[in-house]
Amino acid sequence: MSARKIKKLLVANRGEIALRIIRTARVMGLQTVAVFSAADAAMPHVTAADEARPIGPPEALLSYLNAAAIIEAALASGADAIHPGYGFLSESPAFAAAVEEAGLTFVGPSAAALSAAGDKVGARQLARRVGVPIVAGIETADIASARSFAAANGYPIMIKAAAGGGGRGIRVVVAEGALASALEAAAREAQAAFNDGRLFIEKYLARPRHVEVQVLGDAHGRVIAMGERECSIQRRHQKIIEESPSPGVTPALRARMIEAAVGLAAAVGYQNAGTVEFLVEGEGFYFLEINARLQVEHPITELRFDCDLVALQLRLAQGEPLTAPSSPRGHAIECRIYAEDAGNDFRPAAGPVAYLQLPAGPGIRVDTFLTPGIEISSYYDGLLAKLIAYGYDREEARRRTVSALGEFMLTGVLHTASFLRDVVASERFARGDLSTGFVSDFLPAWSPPEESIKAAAVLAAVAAQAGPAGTAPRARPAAEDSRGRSPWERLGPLNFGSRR
Amino acid sequence: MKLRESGTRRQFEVEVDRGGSVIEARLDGTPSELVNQTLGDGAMLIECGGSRVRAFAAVLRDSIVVSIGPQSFRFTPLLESRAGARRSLTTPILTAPMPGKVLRVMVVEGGLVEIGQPLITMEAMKMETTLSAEGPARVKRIAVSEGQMVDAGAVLIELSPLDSSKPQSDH
Repeated sequence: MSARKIKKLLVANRGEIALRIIRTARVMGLQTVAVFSAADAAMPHVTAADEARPIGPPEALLSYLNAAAIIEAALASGADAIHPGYGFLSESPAFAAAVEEAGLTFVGPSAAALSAAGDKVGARQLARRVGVPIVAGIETADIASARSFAAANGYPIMIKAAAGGGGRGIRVVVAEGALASALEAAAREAQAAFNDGRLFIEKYLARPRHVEVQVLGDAHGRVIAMGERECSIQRRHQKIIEESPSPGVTPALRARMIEAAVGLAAAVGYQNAGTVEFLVEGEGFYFLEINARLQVEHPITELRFDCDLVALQLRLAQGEPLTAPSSPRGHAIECRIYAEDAGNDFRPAAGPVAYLQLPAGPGIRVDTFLTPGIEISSYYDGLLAKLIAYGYDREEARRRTVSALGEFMLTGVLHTASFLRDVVASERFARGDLSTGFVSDFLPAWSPPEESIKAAAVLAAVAAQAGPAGTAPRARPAAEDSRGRSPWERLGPLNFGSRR
Repeated sequence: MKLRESGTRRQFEVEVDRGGSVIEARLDGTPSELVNQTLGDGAMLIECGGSRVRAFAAVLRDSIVVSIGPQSFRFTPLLESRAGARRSLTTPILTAPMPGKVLRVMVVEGGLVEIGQPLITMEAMKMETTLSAEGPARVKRIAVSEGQMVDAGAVLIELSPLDSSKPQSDH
């Protein structure tokens, strides 16, 4: 890592995280460069930066995953460092190496540490060497080894991709009959997603919690931890609600997990910000993986430790030494609002931001790129906004979350805000009875209230009659006609329903 | 008019009799009233479920989107057949629910499909979504090919719905 002062930072990402990084860079007095695909030319991260450069067509593979185009943009703009955000190229050892070779600073761990963390099979072996507990499993996944592992440990078993991430390449096998096809499907998915079809197998824990530890390492060999985050509320193996501290971790367990996380990070010479993920069952914990990047859910740690993790990342990339973190206080909860149809198995949704109202108030932070008039396209991850609530204790943070989610309004794209509100408001969540099975328990009985669906149907009919679909240019508030009057006023006492 | 809500997959027959500050409508034949007040930003303040809540409705190209506070709904107008008689539930023209890539087309033109049969798989936001037949039908036309990028609302497949109450003579 080339340790020198950063003056101009290129942010190789989009959406809320690009905006969030640009904001910190600006506060630190750095010049900022945004990059954008052809679909994102008018996005808020592009307008927020000091300059912006196009890097390719809408497809991520040709733009935000196009390492050469991004490095070229950095060199052309005179940037001296690249922050990769999360996702896209953030955990690519090849990208990190290419950035350094171009004479630029990569804001993240070294290519070697990224390789060590990214190979889940290698990381498992490392954990075993360092003495960190791992879930029973095997690092080969041919059908014969898989059969004998299942025979010895019992079903269900979990097949995972060695290069995995984002829930892809994962299969749960409950019985022998489904084993062969699951192995094939997982390998196919892993090959397509990561260009690496290697798999490994673990015993499936039915109701674990997912708890992770934030770590930071500097260029002088020091590694520190900044508490844990509980991330058990997931759908499709992807987190949707996170909180810190975990309501289910005792001080003794926390101390053991932090020791394990710091030991693992130190063993790979980890620099910059990273996260060590564990599965927890009772007082037992098992190493899952190292996420060698800034996490989506980093704000809950920032609120508890009163720090700016992106600023810390930038200082660490400049070679500055770590100082001891402040003592954590209070409780923080993050809810990820996605462009998805919760009632339809979280199917992706897209559309224009026709109306927007963002929550505010004491203890409320909203990290988002939502702006009226922009189009939510299907090219990228559907994360729209993160609502982060801080409270003196868990109950205050929880009540603030419920209240703030009630203020969130977005028309034009289906989103998950009301589902998240109902989860956080539920008695089971309030009790802290969390596990990775929470959403699949909760979803079948969930639906919007009857009165809301009916009111929405009536308003839809009024809107349709006021402005027939098909004549609208793109998105048009149904509540106003060309003279700015609302259809409700315009329609007044008229009878306009089709009569039979 | 007949509307289908995408999340709950419920259908409503809505006739609006009167607009204004009290909207009078018949929902599936049952009269209902909605007290509403227009707000400066184009939203409405309505009374719903015993509390006051902000609402907004917008007409998009292929659907009507409505927010009731943090709840979001998407309605698609359903066409009624010529004679006014109700067709089977099949939406005759299958359109893309979101922009994305056509991964797989699992039917052929002229083929018969049954309710729930997968027709087409699309990829959007790094996820696969399979669209299935809502009722028995014959595939009239396939408008897209595998690998093609499509916009939201693009016609994917046209179906000729078969009356599920009648025996299918063309087997």
